[in-house]
Amino acid sequence: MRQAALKVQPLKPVKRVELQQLDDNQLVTAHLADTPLAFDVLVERYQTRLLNFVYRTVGDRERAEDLVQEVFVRVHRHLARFDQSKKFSTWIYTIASNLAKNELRNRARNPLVYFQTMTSGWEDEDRPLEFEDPSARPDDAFERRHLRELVDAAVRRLPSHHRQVFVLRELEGRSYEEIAEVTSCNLGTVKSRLNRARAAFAEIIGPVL
Amino acid sequence: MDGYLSDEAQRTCRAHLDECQTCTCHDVQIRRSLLALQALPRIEPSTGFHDRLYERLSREAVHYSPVPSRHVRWGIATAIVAASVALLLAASSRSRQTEALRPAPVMAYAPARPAPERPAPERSANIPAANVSSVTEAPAFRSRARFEALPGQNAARPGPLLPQGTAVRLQMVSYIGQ
Repeated sequence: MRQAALKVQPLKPVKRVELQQLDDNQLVTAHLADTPLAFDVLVERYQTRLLNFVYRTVGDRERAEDLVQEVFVRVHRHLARFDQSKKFSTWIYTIASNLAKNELRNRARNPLVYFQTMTSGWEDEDRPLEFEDPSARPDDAFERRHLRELVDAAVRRLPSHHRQVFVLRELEGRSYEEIAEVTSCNLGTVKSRLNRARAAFAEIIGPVL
Repeated sequence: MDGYLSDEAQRTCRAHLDECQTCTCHDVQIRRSLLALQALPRIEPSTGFHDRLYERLSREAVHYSPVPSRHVRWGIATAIVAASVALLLAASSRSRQTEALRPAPVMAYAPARPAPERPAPERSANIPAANVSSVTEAPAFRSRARFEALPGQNAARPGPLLPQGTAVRLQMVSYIGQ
């Protein structure tokens, strides 16, 4: 009913709180009916999830932000084509996944350019820990940060096609079926990649836990 | 277990883990590593994220014309197909017309042989002398070519090769008709 109301009276101002109660497909309909703020609510809903997914996949925060912006630009451009019988989240994750894959492919072609780009913006505290100081007893904060870096590094060491499935399942909580659709694999491949990724991750990170 | 196993399969799995030390160690190791992973802090977009995004979107609105809807795209595709079919039909009918205007081919089956000696036929009162002599002097195997070249005949589709006598008679009838 609410969706119908939004369709009939698109220019009537709708409060953000009301829009936040709509599901994704209703927000898409509202945006297509020129309801102000509908797209903004979609951005708000997905920006952090997508940023974390892309960041864990490509391993570079700044680049991840650029890619997430590109995701939203593409969504905005092609929203009229979106088949509303399908899940919006699957669609948007598929776009993000494809952009992340392209990024990794480009890096594999030009590794030197990528390294120079990555290190040009580094500050001292962004650098990974290279030497441990044995004279100072590390405090809890340092330990936690060190552990985070190790976990991050362990995720990055996974092969990219395993990493994507692993992040989608373990960090984003996507279902197997959705992951299969996002990564264009069949369900068996998703299960197998996930099993291998879990085992490899546990093997890398296990000794430091 | 991931919530994907049936109750029965889960029971079997747990029973196995109670007995098998290797699998239990593996299971514990994986669970601990996943807990460490899930303890990673979520990163948030930077402060300028929204401004940059909406700046890009406003630039898009200026430079980008929206993609037509699915119905419009189908319409365009159908129009293109219809135009192609119409062009093909027009081209084929034009080539057929050109063929019809082409002059009838002159068919030569064999070089002329000297006409055999034949007795002159008896003159009929209704047939002009010139017609009879021209037909008589024609070699028998040329009769079909002459027949086809007659006005009003379809030269592009020659009929079956008629017996010698028949061709001559037809030609004569045609002459008489004129």
